[in-house]
Amino acid sequence: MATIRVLVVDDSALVRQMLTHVLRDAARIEVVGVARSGVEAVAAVRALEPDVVTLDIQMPEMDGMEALRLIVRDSDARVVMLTSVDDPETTFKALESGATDFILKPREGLATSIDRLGVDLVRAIRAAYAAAPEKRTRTTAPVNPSVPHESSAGGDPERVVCIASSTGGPLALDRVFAGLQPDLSAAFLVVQHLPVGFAASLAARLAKVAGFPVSEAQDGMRVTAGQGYVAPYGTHMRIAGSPGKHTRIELAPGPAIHGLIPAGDPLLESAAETFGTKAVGVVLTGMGSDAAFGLLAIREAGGQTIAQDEATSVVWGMPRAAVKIGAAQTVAPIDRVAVEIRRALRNGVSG
Amino acid sequence: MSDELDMGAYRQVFLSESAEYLQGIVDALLTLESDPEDLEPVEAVFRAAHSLKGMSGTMGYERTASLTHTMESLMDTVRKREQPVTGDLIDVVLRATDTLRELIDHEASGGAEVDPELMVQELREHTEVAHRAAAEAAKPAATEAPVAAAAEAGVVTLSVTIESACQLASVRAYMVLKRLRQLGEVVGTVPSEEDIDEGEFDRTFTVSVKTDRPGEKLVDAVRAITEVETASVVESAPEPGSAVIEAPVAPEPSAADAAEMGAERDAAFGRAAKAVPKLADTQTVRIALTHLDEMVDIVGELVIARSRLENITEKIDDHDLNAAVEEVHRISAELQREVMQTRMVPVGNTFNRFPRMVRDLARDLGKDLAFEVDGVDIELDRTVLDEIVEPLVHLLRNSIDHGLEPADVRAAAGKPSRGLVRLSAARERDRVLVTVADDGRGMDVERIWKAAVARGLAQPGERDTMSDDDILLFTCTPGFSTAEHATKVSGRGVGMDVVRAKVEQLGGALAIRSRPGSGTEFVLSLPLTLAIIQALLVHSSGHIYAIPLGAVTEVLAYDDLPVGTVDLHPVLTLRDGRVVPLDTLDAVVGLDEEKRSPVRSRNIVLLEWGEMARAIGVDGLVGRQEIVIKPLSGMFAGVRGLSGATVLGDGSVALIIDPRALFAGGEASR
Repeated sequence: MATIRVLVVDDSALVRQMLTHVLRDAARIEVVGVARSGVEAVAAVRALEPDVVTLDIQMPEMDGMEALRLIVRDSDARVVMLTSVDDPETTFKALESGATDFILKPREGLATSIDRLGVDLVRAIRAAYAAAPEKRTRTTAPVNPSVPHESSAGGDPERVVCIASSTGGPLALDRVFAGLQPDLSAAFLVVQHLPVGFAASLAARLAKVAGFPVSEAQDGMRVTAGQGYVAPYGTHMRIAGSPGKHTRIELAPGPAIHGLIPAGDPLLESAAETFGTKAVGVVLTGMGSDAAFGLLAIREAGGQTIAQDEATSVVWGMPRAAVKIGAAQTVAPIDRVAVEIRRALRNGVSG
Repeated sequence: MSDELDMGAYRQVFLSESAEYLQGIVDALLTLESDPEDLEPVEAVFRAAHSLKGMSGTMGYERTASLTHTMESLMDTVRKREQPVTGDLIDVVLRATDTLRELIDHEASGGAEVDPELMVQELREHTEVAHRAAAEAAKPAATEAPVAAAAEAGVVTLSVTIESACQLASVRAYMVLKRLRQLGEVVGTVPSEEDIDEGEFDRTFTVSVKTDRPGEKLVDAVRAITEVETASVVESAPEPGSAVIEAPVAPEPSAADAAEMGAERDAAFGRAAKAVPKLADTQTVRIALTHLDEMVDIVGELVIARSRLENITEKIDDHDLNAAVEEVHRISAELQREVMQTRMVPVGNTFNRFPRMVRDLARDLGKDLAFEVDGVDIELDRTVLDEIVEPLVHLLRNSIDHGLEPADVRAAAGKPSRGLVRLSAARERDRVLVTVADDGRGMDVERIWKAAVARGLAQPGERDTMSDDDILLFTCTPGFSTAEHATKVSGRGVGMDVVRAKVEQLGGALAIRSRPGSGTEFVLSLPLTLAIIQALLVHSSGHIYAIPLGAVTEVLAYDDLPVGTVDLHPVLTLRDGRVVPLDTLDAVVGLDEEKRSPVRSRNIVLLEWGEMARAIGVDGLVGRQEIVIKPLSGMFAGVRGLSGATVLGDGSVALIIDPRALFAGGEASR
């Protein structure tokens, strides 16, 4: 397998040293250069042609956002943003501008920080490397925020739509939610692999484009039809109760699945158990194979299943795994996923 | 990866990097205070606080992270122009920086004493004020304010040219536009901003800025950006919108030209690959100074051993041996140069602490002054630099407290009411001159002369033999102070003796120049390095002496130049007509038991120190050699004119002449 050539960009010597240290120990990853500012980064990308760039946001001379724009415009390098916990807005903006993925700058003390970087950063770099350069920027028109729909207080949902996504997921979710109608019979549950502190922000974004309430899930929270829920960081999310009755969210720390908490499998499997034929499972872009078996469980329980297609996936890992084991009934480009979800909900009603 | 060693190494990186950021914050705040309208330094403070927050978070230093977070939030409000830059604001952030410095030291060493909570609260309050003001401003009435401000602003059009060697012209152009946006509103560019962004311009573009700043300020700001070749004001219009921007007339490049340019560009990119910092290039190792000191000692011993080896080789005179020894010579010389180089640091490393000190002092004393620092890139031995901090603090304090007159006195004298204090470094041959200058009242030579006579330091009749500069040096005599200054808390004289002693102890010299009414200048002339010097070895009365080569201007045979006498004292007449005193070396170091006449000397060494010269008669020359200075001890410790001793190749000891001391007695001519 080819070695992933990485350029590390950060204005802090400490951070540069930590990143290169961590990456030095990672197999198939080579740090080919470091840069201390946006200007240096742009020049280094040009000269070194790295596969992946880890990019800081706050830097002298030219900040990470501007450097990101130029790197994406002028090279094939995939960019992983290093962001801080209190700035989800900028992070989502970076994703819109063509960053493939992002991780949080660790802040739990040195030993933990290094351990965490060793896992998160290496994972993000591999995922970014797996993404095709041409998928970094959206060629389709940006999502228009929906007009808020009148939201009447819904009751327990008759149906659930459970969506799992990872690398490239935040933008994919934007597009899906923009195309959803508030279906007063269904609730929408999302597991997106995110660092701590980002679920609430993602929920707010999705609410904005969808025009119906989307919130960060809490343990024991009642699930209401016509609303969306995003799994928080650090716990698996499951759905409990049954169609139309006492539907609620259960959050449990549990062991990591595929190295992930939350993972998509527990949500999709619980939906298969509790909602059976009235469950819709969706697996969007992402590295790895999370949610494939969950999706299969829904299909086997008689529910409906959708996977994002290869052409529009930033990383066709999770959807591919689902397709491979025969879990996906429908494979659709991202702009058709919402349509397929609506069709599935209609099918469910009629069938 | 929980290796203790690594943890310690990271902590070191953290500490030294945070020290840099702290310094950066202080520098930026002081720049901001001098021009509160230009928000560029705000970005720097914001970024530094942000980086410190991230770094301390990574290290798990929660309190540091919390304090830097509130600093960042506060600076964010300034950045967004939600509150103006005031002296109070700068003060609170400076104090926060002090707390932060203390906090970092404690938290990094595991201490818990420093509690930043009060400071955090104070910063939060300042931030809240801005948020409330911003909320106020968001109300409808507030829209008038920017319009009113814009009415006063004119449009300045600049022509900016990027260097032809620049690889990333569009990136530099972006930086130019970004910088100008900190000073006003960019209202137009030629070619369009999109074209500039795409690199579709021929090195030069014009940009129009709506601003109330003078055009020169914009030009200076733009020129400060790397790889900007020139920037100039092409048009300055008082009314917004009336500026006519003419596109630069350039022939359309033909397709062939374009292709050629493309090829050039590609070739340039090929070269650029080398210029980009690779990981290996940017790695540094931090070494404790004690290791370096030890290395210098060892290299010193190597130099001595090498000299002995060379002596032996001369006696044997074997071709192969000669070649090998020559090789050893070359290598050890290189090693020595490298080792000495590692000890050299830019004076800026130390000078950068002064702006803050000067600011606080000026505030305390109610003096309005500008502080300029020059020559920060000049390098000096680390030890020398450390040692001159205290003297410099003293001299700066002197200049601000006593040198600068109160604003009304200055105004009455027709001077700008804002005083000027300048700290500069410059290289002169093998010495570094560090100067502290002010444009204040100057020193009164006659008053000092009278005080010197009154204290018996000089005889009234000597006045004509002494220059003004010499007389000013009387202020460096212990306990010396003039009547006028004695009434103040600390007079000019107090502490000056300490300054001079410290400088001389380092092998340097202090000079004072002053003109009444226009200012005073203190010049510290310092050796580049302490440990190893080039010296001329001579012998005299059976002893070998080393004379630092830096002071030697010429070596003569006795009868090269005419020797005469003035007042019965032998003198040498130089080619340029100057007459300089001639003495035996024994006489000048006070070891002249035989009282020989210099007329019996075989060689004459001509020494110059500053503007003074004197001739020294010696029995013979031994040669030129690098010597390692060891401190004097025992019987020679108090001998005037000697600065140390060195061990020669054959194991014998040579005494090192201190040329400075030879000129201190006033016997030398000018």
